[in-house]
Amino acid sequence: MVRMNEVIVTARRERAKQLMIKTISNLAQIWKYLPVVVISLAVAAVLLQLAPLSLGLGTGYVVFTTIVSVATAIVIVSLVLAVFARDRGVFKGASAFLRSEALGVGEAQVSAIPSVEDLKSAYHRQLELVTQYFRNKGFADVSIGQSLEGRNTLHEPDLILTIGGKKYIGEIKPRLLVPSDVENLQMLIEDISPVNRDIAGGFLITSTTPTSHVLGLADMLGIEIEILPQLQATVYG
Amino acid sequence: MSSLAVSDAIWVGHLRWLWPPYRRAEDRDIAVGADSMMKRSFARENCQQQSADAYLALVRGNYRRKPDITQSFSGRQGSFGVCYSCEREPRGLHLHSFSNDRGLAEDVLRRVERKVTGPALRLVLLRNRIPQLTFNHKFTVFSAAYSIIATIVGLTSTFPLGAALLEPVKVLLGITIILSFIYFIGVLCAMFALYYYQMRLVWFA
Repeated sequence: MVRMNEVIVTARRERAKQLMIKTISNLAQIWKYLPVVVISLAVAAVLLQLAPLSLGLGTGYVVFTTIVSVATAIVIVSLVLAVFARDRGVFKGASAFLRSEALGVGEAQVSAIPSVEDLKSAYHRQLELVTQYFRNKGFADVSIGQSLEGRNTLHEPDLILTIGGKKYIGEIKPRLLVPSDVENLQMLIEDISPVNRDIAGGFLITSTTPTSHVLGLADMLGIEIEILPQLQATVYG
Repeated sequence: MSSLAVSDAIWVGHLRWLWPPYRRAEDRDIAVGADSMMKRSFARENCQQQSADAYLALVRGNYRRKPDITQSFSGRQGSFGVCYSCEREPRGLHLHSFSNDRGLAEDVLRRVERKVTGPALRLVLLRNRIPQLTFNHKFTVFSAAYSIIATIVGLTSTFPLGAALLEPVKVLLGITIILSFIYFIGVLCAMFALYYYQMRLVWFA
């Protein structure tokens, strides 16, 4: 019972802290609008003839002085608040919140964790599509989950594709490709080539269009890249 | 080092936060930069690069589905794998470690993470926030122009306005010019920081 109360109190504290951080980060947005407010006030004052364009000549300078003083006061108060918040450790929290918000971490945090079965079925669906695509392309044999002996390690590529007595290694990456994916496949091919003389190259199958850097690297290393949505369009029309 | 006897450890830290599919296409270069940075960080820790399958061979028995490991490194601190999705952490970039000394391995992972995520997070933050806070640099141009023009026209006595202004107004005008100038310098510093991190993470990755 005591443990449960502790958990509830901690959760409430956490919620309060999150709310405070959110409020401060929202208040911080005022900075964005401050110049607009000051300029609008000055323009309004001039239009209403409260502060004649003489800016300080004659009676108008009082209103102009007031406007500038208020703006300066807002800036100073905001700075004091920022310093106060930093001392309380809230500023750090707010900046972390802004940072996470900029990265869309909120979305990532609440995203559900897929089960192993979900992942497996998604992977199998992709495998099925890719297998069909390469069969249509004329590959005589498409093996899944077959091991290949290398000089240093035993490798288990996603696909081994055979055409005209030559073998190609296929790796499926349902995400944005990074240079390491290309280098790793090249490393794998280099490791198995001395043992398996019929290895001719490799394919990387990705779900998103790769960056120009990755495309350049793949081109340089002779790795071919296929994009899943394009394969889907080819296979299922 | 015996395989399968123990499960490998996972280090998520802030790394996963680097990986969610980016809202903007131009941020994809950061993921590519982080990948290269990771390699350099492990090299600095005296860890040799090895095939990803070398790490998988150590831990294959611990997983029902093959983890999406792309890079693997090995050193006296243990073996490490850079993984994007596995059944223990399917939500993005994280690190695996297989070591006899978990404390030593965690120190390495902490240092690697700090070198990779720090610049990447700052770069994303600066890229997103600078245009927002400056209204796509409209305020930057305005503040620079205001600082220069107001100083010349309002504070120098050679201009009729500067000569005619009352002293308190001149003081306040001076304050707004200083604030405007500070804002301009702040934006300039943020731009320099942005280019610095871009240089570290993207251009020379």
